[in-house]
Amino acid sequence: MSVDLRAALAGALDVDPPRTSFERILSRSVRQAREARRRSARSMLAAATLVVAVALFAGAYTGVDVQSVHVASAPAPAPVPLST
Amino acid sequence: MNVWEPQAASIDAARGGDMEALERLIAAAWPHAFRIALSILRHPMTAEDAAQEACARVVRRIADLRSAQAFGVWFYRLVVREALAFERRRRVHEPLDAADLPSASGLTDALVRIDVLDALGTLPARQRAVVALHYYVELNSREIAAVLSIPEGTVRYLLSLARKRLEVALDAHRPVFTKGAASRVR
Repeated sequence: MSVDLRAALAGALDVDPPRTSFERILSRSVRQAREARRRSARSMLAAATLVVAVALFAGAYTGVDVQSVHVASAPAPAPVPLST
Repeated sequence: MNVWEPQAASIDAARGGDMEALERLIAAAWPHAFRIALSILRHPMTAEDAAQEACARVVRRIADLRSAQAFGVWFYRLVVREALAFERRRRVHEPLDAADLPSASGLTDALVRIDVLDALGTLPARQRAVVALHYYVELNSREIAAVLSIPEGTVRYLLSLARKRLEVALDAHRPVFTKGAASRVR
């Protein structure tokens, strides 16, 4: 004879749910919305910080690089002819 | 999903912003949310907390629901996700007490319930969710797959694993749980 899982589970869950008020659920939903806004603002701030950091790094790197290449590849000044 | 058909008008009105309809819908959904969460979390206070969070998500997102027919899968998904999130965060599993499971029936039934919930506790959380959706909500594999966003074959596999483990766990109480004795736990 097999175990009647459906009856066992239906019986186990046949408990009276605790009373809850709609107002309590509404206030939870307001809190969830506030948290979601805060999370969204935090992630936007983090993204903006990352963009600024990348831009600064890229700018600094490019500046140094261009300058060094420029200096390195600059032709040596021609010797000044000696006046007699 | 037929359980939500009588609520179709309330669901549509709630999607349109009718707060009274939303309150009626939440009142109808609350026992389901609590019992599904209880089957996954196995502790009434934690289940109440998770069910309230899920209902609050319903309130917050009902306007985004595409149709009243989609409510069932969407609602069960919110409840299961919330309960699984609570389960992941929970560190301590307090033992159940008969007084924690209020019911119109007596203490013996409460003790039998604890045995079933303890047996459920031998399963991983996702298998508990599959068991609850199949045996309590009476969804088929396709519907459970939609709720949990997993393949239908995985649902059947999880269900078969869970069934075997539950039968072993409940074997000690065979006289109570065998077919024909179902009325004793109802």
